[in-house]
Amino acid sequence: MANHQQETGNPFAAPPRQEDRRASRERVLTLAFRLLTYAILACALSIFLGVVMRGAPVIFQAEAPFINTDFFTRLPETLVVYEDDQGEVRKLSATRFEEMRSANPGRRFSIVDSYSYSGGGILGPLVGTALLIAICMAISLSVGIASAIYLSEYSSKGRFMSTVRLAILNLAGVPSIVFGLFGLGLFCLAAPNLVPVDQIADRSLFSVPIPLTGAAVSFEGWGACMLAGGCTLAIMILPVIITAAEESLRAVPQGFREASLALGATRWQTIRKSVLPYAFPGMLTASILGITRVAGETAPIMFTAAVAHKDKLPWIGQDPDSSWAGRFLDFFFQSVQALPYHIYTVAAKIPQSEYNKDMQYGSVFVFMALVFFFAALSIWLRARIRRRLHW
Amino acid sequence: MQIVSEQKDKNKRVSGRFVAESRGFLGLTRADLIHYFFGGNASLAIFILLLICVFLFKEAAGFLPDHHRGLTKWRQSGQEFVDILNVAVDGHTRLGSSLNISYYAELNSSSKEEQAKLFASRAVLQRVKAALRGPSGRLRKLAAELEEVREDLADTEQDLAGGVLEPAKRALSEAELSGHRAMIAAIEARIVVIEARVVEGMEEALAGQEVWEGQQLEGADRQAVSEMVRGEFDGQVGTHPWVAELEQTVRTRKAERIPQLAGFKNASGNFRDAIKPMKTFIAPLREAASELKRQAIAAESAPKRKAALLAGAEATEDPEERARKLAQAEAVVVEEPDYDAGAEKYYSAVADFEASVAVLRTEIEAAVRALPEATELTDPSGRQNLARFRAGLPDYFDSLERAVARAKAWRHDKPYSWSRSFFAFLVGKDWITNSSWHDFYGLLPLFTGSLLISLIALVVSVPFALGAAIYVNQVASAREQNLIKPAIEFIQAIPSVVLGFFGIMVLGTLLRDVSQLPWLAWVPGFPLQERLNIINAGLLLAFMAVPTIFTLCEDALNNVPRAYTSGALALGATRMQTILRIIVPTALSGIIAAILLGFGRIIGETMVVLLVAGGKIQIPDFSKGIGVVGEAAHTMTGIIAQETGEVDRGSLHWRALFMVGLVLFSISLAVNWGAQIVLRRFQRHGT
Amino acid sequence: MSSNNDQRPAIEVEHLDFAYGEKQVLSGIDMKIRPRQVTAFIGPSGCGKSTLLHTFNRLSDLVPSARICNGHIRVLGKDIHDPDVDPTQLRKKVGMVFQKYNPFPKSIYENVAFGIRVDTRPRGRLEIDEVVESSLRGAALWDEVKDRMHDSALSLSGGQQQRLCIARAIANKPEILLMDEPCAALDPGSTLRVEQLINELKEDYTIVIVTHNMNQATRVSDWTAFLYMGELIEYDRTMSLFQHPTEDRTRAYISGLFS
Repeated sequence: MANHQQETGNPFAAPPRQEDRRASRERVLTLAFRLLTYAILACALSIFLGVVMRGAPVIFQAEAPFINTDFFTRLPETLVVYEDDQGEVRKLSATRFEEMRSANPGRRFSIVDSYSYSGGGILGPLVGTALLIAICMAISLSVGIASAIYLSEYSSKGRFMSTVRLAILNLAGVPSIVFGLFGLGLFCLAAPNLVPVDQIADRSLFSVPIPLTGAAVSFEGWGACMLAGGCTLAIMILPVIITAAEESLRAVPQGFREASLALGATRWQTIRKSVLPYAFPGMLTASILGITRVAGETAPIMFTAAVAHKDKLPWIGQDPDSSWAGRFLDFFFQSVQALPYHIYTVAAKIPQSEYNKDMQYGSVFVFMALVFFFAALSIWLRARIRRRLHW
Repeated sequence: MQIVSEQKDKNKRVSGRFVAESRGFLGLTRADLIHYFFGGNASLAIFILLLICVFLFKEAAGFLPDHHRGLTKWRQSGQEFVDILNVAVDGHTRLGSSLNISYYAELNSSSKEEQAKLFASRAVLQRVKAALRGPSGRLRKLAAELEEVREDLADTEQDLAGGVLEPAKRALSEAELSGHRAMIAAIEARIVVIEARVVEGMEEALAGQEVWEGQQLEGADRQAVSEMVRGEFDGQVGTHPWVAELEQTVRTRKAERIPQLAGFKNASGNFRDAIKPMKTFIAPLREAASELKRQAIAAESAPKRKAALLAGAEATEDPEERARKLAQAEAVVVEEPDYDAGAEKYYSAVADFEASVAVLRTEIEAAVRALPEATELTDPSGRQNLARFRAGLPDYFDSLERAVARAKAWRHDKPYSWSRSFFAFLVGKDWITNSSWHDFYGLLPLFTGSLLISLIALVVSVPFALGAAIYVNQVASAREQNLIKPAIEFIQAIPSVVLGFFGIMVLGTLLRDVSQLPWLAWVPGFPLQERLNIINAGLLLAFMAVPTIFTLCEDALNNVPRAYTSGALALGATRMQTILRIIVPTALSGIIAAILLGFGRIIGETMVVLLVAGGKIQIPDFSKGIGVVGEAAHTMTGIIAQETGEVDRGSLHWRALFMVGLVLFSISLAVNWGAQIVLRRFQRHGT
Repeated sequence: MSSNNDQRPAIEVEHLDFAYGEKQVLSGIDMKIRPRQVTAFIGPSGCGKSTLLHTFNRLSDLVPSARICNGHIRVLGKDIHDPDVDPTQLRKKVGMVFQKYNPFPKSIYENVAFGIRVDTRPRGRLEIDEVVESSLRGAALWDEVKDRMHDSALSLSGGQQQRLCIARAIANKPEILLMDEPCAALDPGSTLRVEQLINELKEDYTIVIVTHNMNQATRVSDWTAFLYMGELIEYDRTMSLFQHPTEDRTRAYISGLFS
């Protein structure tokens, strides 16, 4: 060995190939890890491209306004497949078909087939999803940030604290469908509701009449409505929000708090003036991350809020005679369409054919675009925060 | 911190000069209120967890007693007895189908190729027709219209020719006549146009690849099938010579084979017939049990009905109406049916059953003696199925013995034990709802479905996620990291319903097409029969689980002290040796926890399995070995999503679904707890 | 051959400029480290002494932005940045002991055997046993651990863990042993043991030790180099450097004016 070194003058030469299989093993393993990694990305890319290639033509069109406005401004309705007098098979949403038929009284159209929910646009589901997200975020952010403030600012190590943390951790692992069942049991069937005394439902657990008003607080739940769905979703993402908000609070240097307290500020003033403003960007990121998760969930809203069919937008058709409070409640106590549930409906609950592919891929494309937009926003924001805030 | 604030409080109390805040609500300072407000929010997490338990329990609570009552009725009414007897029929049916498949596989084996070609040609014709469904339908409609107008024309002509019409009427009729003729011409012109379109469409379809896809038709065969399709559309009568020839060959070959297989056929016919007496024997018992069960259910709801009628009578003013309702209420039978009297029939049937079993057995044995050996058959599928039949026979006889023993031991009034009714849920093999016989709520098919899909997902995703975590954490350049990490976050953001949709639209078809490639036929379970199946759902869930497992694994790898890495490298280890011998073992508990949490995520996932798993509530057939992944299945999450919206609130079915929810909840808690334990060990052990 | 080796410097540094990204941390270092002697690097924090040590076994390659701007390092006469140098072979010949003892979370035995197990040539159980024993003896640890070879290395005391790291390094039979403040994390008793060990080891190995502690440098080293702001200020026999420093900065440093 020593002689060998002396001759070549290189004591650190790699041993000959046949003696050392490490080098080739090194290459093979590196390659394997790289392949595994890029295989994941390739799968993601193929799903993404698949959706874009079939979905983008539904949304975009060649002539102005370049976007299929009907798809964004109409409610889902039945798709009619018909044959005109030239023998061409075409498709149109039900209302458009009727319009055309009455505009051309002389021509003959015969309906070949029809598909529920596959025509029109996705305005209803979009609005419903937006409302659900809004309710959910309003609730989960207020509760979540308050909890995070407690955990990071008031916490002392103790039994209560560790129980809270354990609960949050476990809550994060509960399957979304179980949250759905829970929401159904609590919000739809057991939450307190204000109803006229003579209309208390049989299922009411118990009710307390309010004197002089003729109304009663009845624990009969709200039925399937957007409030119930929003609350269920809020509870589901609470752990995500709490964890992320706490992290951004902890990222604020301890010195900020000490300085503020030393200047005679109370604990709350310190939190409000010297901690929250600096933790705000992080919390924003957390809430956007929350939106991404909530928007994609179907299981929790299946029986708590979502319906397949609704022929009006939530704010239309309210009773003009009732008080503003009544209208307010009526607004939140109605069921909604939601984009993920709409996709579930058109993908699994109606007969499949070439004709309703457009609705399916169009909805999926818009949905993916929305979710990715929020995901990208949160990634970008986080990168920005990391770059800007160095204390 | 805590001490500081306490001191502050003390100062306040002592001096009073620094009391800046007034005592507010219930003697609490504002600071206290704020403190409790935040604390209250934080404790909400515990509260919610408790609430989830409470509400799942509340809705599921009635399940066990109701389920127990249902099972008791099943026993008392004798349905249980009939189900015991029915084992003889069910087992026979299963064996018979193997035998049948074997026989026909053997019969067809000599003309397999021809039959495949015929089948393919029919499939192609079907596809072409489907593609031209619109215009063809239109043609049919036009033909009908034409017929109608021609009839009208004939009528009018008759009118004109036959009678002496008033001139005014005659003019009208003549106008009508020309109108009809014009219409006929128009329709005929349309027909020509559309016919041309049909022909054009047909040629287009034949020239394209789509209609031929997956069919083994090449060269001359393809030519012939094209001709046949054209002929079909031309309205040619009679079969195309290519078809006729094939059919003739099939007939001849079969005819040649039939006498050779006469023994087989005879024996299998004997086997089939052997069960007939047993069926006739069981049928009246079955009816009696159904009737008893019906009465039992009626009796159960009777008090409620009676009360409703009485309340109704109370409410009505009309004395007549009241009398009628009271009479109806009186007529409601509240008593339970006489189970003891009913049971006599079953007890007396036991001896007959034993006798029938003995007869059945001798007849089957006689039939089997006439069967050929599996090795004598030429067709692989024939051999396989006959072998399966022969292998299943002893088990079947055993099950007959057991059935007799159980029938003898059966007592209708023996109380159904609580533990048994609990296990009937937990490990029951059937989940049968809305049945006219008896509803069974057995978790096992759903649980196996969930578990199998999750395990597949785990087995597929762990190498990818762990490999990627190692790559990103240890090997990748900073630029690669900045590409891969956000990309994986995007994967996490893909909604599960979108993945499910992708599974239905793309992956299912892709998997089936791949499985039909001839050179992949050796893979167990290939070719896949279904588009929506366990492997499809498993692959999608694997994809879903990758981000979770990746992120947690990467964290775990990141937590390995850098000193270990430099230590190993300084000892002359290569990069990979360092990774595999030092870094991964050190991070192992973190990695295990990551896998556990990934498992929790997968087993709780709903939409993908609901859309893609196939929705067949049955324990997958594990006798296929790995091929089991090609089966359709149902899952715990899927069943909740599918059925909760459709069942009556408070019914046994509803409660059963909440029980499933409870099981899921417990699994998720257990998985989390396991991960915690593993991680805690890591913290104590590491650094 | 051995006489040849004795005359040749173990490590030769020529005009070395070294930078992390844009930040130059070593400039114009020139030195020859003699074989079978203990050489100490002293200097204030951030003077580049650790960095210089890490360039000798190319462990500095791990920092992505690290680069040699200029100059050469020759170890045993071979420029270690030549393309035909295999860093793993280099690191086998140039062992290293770290400031914070870092035994792997494995058994004592496996820690010492690690270098052999990752070697190119597979070796039999007996041979490994032998190397483990002789290395542990060499690090004066054998008697303390021989009965619990398969206990976790993390169950040892701090000083024992550091000696285990030394045993682990000499199991590779290196020519040179680099020690990066090996006693910084140890209590005085353990420090003494390690220093004794260094004195024993210099019979067989060329040792380069980075230290913060000037007393330690005088106790263990034959040669001492003083680095300041990335430059080699003075390099001489330990006795003469401490007694008659030629440079003002050296004098100021060793008299404790700054640290």
